[in-house]
Amino acid sequence: MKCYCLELKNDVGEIEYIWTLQARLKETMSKIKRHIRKDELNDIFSLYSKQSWLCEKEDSLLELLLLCETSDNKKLIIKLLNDFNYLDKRVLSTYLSLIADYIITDSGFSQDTCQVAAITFDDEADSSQKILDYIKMPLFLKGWDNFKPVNRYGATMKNYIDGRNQIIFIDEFIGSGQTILGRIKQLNNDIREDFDLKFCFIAGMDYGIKKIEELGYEVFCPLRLPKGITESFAEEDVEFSLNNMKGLEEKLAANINGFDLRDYSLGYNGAEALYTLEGNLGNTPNSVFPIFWWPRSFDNLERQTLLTRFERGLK
Amino acid sequence: MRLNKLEKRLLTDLFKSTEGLFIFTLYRRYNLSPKELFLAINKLKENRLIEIDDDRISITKQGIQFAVNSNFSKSNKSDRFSKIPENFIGPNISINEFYIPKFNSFKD
Repeated sequence: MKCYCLELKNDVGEIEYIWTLQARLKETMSKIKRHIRKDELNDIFSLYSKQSWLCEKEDSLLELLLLCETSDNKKLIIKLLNDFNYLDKRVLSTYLSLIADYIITDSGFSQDTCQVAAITFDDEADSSQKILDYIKMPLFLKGWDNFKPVNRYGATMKNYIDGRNQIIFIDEFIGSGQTILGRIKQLNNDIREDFDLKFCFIAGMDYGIKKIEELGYEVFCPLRLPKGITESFAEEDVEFSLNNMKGLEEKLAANINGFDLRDYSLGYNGAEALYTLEGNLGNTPNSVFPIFWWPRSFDNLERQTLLTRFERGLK
Repeated sequence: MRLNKLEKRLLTDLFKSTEGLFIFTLYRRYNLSPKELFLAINKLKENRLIEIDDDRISITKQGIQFAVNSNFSKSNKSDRFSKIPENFIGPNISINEFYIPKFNSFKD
């Protein structure tokens, strides 16, 4: 089993080496917190200034930084965390209000013929339904009291037959866009007649949104994100940084209960997302770099991760 | 404005330092986690008692004024007799005035 070697300075300034198994990191965390090097402390402080939510996840942050064996790894993680979009309740509220304004004013849809639908396909609760429930109130408060919220994809057909041929699909996050493209295909197969279809997302990957727009559908998304490395780093650094990230992913469990890490490398479908909704407001999308949420390390030990993703069986 | 023990200590140390202090110096001196130090520094900064230039912190004019007014820049030792409640303080005796000595203070 692999150990981590931590270089710490003791009270009289001598260097001590602590060899620790990952499982014992928690026990040594208190000591680690008090023996951080100057450059690392400055990095942590600048992160805290920009991403105050990290303050509350100090143990997870330090565990993540300890995973970085080289300074390049560390720089990469710090840069990605600096660019991270961690939405709190206040920002979510603002975005919901913007979406409600779009639906009422700019979509051109009427509340009497409109259905706002979650994209949920099966019987498992998901964040699409969560956002649908969140949007009900802003829509109602802004004057829509007769629109139809539909909590799963399968029910859109019935509502279409009832005269609601203006459909808005709503979801928390769009990654590569594959799921949405599937729903579009399915809906065209199911209805086969005239209907209007538009999309609203709280946040999404710009390249995924463009795939939908290229098909001629209107998308409203207040937070469009570039790929965390490929579209955000200087061109000459991209390949090096992607390889660095893949190197870091080797420290994660390759397979958890049938979930293969390779499918999630750099985020599902290589989405490279840097986004989550605070706490229980949402569920970290699988499009996010798994280094931030993959629950087990290469030796199958539980990690204390910065972010949490619920997916049945992935624990 | 209410400051906790750490925030007072931080402001006092900065009050005594002419050119400010590095964040790292404070971190090593106080033996804290980064979060604890960050939150204390942030509160003082938000209240404009200190300012941060890169990784060096110094006290502002407002901070100096606050430290002087609050009197916590004095060390506790020199201040310990000023906190005795009035009803515990007896009358002063003059030089060479008689008083009852404590017998257990005498040695054989």
